[in-house]
Amino acid sequence: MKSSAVLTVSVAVLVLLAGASEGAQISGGPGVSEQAVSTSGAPPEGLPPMPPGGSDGPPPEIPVPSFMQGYLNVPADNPAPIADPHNLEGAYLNLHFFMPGLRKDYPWKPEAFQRAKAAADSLGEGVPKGSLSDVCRQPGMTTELDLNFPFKILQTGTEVILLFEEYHSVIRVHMNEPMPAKIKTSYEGYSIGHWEGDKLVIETKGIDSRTNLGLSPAPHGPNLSQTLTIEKKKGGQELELNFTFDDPDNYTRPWSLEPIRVNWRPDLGALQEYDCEETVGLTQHMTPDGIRADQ
Amino acid sequence: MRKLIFFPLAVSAGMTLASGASASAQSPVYRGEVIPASAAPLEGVWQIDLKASGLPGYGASVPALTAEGEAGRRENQSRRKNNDTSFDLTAHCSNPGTPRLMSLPEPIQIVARGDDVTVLFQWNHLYRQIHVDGKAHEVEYPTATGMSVGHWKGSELIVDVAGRNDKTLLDDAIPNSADLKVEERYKVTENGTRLSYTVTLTDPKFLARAWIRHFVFDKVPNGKIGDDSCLDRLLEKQKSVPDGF
Repeated sequence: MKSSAVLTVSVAVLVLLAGASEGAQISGGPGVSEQAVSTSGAPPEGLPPMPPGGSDGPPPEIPVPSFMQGYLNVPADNPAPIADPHNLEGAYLNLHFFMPGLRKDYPWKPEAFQRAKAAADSLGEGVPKGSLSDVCRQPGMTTELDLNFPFKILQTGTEVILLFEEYHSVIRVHMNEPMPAKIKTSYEGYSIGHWEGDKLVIETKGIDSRTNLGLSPAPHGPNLSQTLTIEKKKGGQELELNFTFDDPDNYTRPWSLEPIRVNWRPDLGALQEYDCEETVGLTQHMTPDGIRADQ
Repeated sequence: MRKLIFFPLAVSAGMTLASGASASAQSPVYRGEVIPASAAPLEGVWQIDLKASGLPGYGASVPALTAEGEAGRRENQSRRKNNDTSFDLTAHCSNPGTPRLMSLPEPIQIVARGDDVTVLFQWNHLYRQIHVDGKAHEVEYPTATGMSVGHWKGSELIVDVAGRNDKTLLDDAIPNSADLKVEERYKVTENGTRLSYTVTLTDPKFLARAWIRHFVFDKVPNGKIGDDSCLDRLLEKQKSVPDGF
């Protein structure tokens, strides 16, 4: 039986997904080869292991894994990017691959580091507890934008909308509005945006504490204030995304992820259906109520 | 694996270029930047009129079914009465598919561009894309919402959906096969305040003849789609969809 689940290339998420869909065939989008299909739960070939014990700094970029090579085929007739720097509409793809592991260089407070370490250690136990993705919830904006599958941006008169294949996530940025005094916590948080020159500045609050910051297990608290800037580079052939986090409950100072660069790929705008919820109750990891079986 | 290649029936007409587009003989124009003139009224947030649509609570209709369709419907109804919803994947938040998604009480939002018309659902933050770019679209594998290819006929959007899987229901009890074909028609009426949605379903295995359903939506001025996590509602002991939907 084919599931609509889509593979990711981060080993952390691969282990999660392989666990969640054990026994089911997995297919990816147009760039993912059959080599990636796995029924054994083992990560596909072509990825190095995560740094044991974590890393002391930014991980080096690794080559595009063999099973993602299809995404390197850019059609010759791809249209040029939209000229307007304030029009970000289109489909994009992150073709930069890293194995983040546990980042010891983040400005951790001790308890936050211990939580991150426990999440990282759980990956080796075969029952990952570090990401909401293993129970079919949205893992959060920073993870989704750092993954290596297509996403699409739409802009209406009042919103910037980001669509993701994974977890059929939808992020809404309410343009030129004040941040509400009361925000209901959600996996994507509540986002407002405005332009500063040619840079879109997105502020987000009310992000569910169970999401991570980026691809590493990097927890945060309910008082996180997140800022994302998006700017066209190279004539619109790339977007550069920069995340900054201010969470004094868990970190000693504000800090930033390394810039994320995504490529203009209008040929990938037809997003695949993603139905993780189809597996609810069908695996040993998730009950019919959609919670982790060991909770 | 059998693959279907789905060709559009017609090419979009009445196209205008949005400002800022740079068309040249050497570089194709990004169709996503092109907004068909006929598409503008469709954009926005819409709320289904349950009464006008004849949905549960307002005399939901039952189509003419084959013997197998009737047997499947009765069995599913019986199982649901005995609190067995294992036949309905939507009970644990799986995608309800096309057209059941369009019948849910939660609001929808439509964003129309020259490449895709995107329908966003508040229900479980789902969305589907209707490809209006005039290109062939391959069905890689059957899905709940299928592969939707549309074209404009004047101000009406006509959509054909192929590649549906057989894991969904047409309503809360009638099964569908993998041979289900769906045709949708979207038309904005009453000075832009109402959306008429007509869907024609053909499924020789379960439907004795084509089932035509007509839903009506009201425009929600300055409307916003809210956040929804179906699985979290299950954790709060709520149902994934209201009874009858």
